Amino acid sequence: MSSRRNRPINLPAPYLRRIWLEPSRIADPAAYPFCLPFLHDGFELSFDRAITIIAGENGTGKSTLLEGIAVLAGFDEAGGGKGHRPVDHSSATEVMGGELSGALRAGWLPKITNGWFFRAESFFSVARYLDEVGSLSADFLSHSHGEGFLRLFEERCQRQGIYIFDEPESALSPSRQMEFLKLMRRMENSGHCQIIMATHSPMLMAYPDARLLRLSKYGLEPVTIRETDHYKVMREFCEDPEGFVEAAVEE
Amino acid sequence: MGSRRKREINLPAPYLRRVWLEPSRIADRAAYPFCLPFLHDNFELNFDRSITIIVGENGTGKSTLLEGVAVLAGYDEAGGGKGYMPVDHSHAMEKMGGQLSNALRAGWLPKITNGWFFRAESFFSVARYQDKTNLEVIPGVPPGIPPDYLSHSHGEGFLRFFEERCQQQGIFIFDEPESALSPARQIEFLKLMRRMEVSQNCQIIMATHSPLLMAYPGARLFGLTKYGLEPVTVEETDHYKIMREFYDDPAGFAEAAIAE
Repeated sequence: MSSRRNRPINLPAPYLRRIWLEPSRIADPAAYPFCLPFLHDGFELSFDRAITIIAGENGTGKSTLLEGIAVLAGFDEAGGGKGHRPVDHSSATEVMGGELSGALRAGWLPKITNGWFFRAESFFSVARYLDEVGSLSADFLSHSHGEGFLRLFEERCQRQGIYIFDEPESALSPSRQMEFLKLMRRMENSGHCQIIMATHSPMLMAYPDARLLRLSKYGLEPVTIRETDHYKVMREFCEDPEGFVEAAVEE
Repeated sequence: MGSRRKREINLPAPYLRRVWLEPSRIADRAAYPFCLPFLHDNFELNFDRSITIIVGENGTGKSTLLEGVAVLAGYDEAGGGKGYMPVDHSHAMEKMGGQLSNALRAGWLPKITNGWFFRAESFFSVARYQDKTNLEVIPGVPPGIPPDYLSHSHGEGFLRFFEERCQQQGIFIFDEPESALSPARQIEFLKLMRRMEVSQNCQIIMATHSPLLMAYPGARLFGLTKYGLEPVTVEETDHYKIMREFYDDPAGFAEAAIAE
């Protein structure tokens, strides 16, 4: 990391203001990821707040969308920061975000390439890579991986940049998620961190003042947490845990 | 996998009935994992139902305990089934369970070594290993695309993985399977657990932070704290209490949590 790259730009987040699909750049609209229903010709996504949270069921394309944005920002789509490609990516199968990014255009104010792309399932290899290159932060994997996750976040998320989190709640207990909310607040208060996050966790969706979007086959739309399926399901569960689960497994 | 190994034993789960600590086998009491408070000299854990669920905060030693049990069952502590050691394990850091297993003793009825040890964070490398070694054809997946547990949506991949692995007789160890599963997918997972329980030849030992999974009917639920393991109900767990409070007022809860 050169010192030039670390010189902060005196503009507040969000830096990535808008992305949109350029249909003329799509080679095969029938192939994944362009067959995803939300990626219709008029697809666009505006970022009007420092924190954007995307909710939606598995399979709607949340992760692919984040990968596409990560590649636009110059990150490796398998996770990590810029220049972290050595993370055993030789045979990665997640090439979908890269293909998507080829057909996306982005509006930046200004263009930022610092930051981090954090995938739940690539934590394992990213952490091992960090250990191998002799980071001060060895040992992410030992003892308890919830602890390791937070340490990774804390160390990586203090500088100006764009931070993409794909399901950070994986391996975080509810009380750790509360700590993660505090980290998000510190990042927001710094004024120079943009967060784009996909999550299934209602607790993370509830971050105050974030823009919460629901991704479905019809596209992206603003929602409140109480309108999400995740919230409704879990609210019902809380009322009667045993009865809820008994009914669910009997179905 | 020889055919001998797949011959079923006509006894119902649970097969692993009890694990206990043998203090004389501990080289260094002060070293991890034996410094974990719950691993006192009299530590023992009885499995009286086919499904045992362990809850507890990060850092109490849940994962280490599961690793120890996995090694007793003959699995690789970094995840996978017996014989899956090639999963780039040359410099794995999770050797804690192996050390614990040396000081554990186990009572089996009978000894079972089929099954699977599933770690949330080793899913990635297990799946990649499978992609490399077993380029099977999956109906509905266009040719040229590998059997992609990792692509598209990893929630989908997780469940497909569970479904394929969990149909035989065996002991199945799940460490935080809820990772990357939405509530709707967790309900699918509960149904899979029910199918496994009804088969009567699957023992499940699971650690989880998810109140939804803790609420599986008929499971033995243990809370792991520094004082040890003790039976709890879902409603008594901190996870449930926090969740309950959150769902009553999500915005207020999040604001208060951040402001603290």
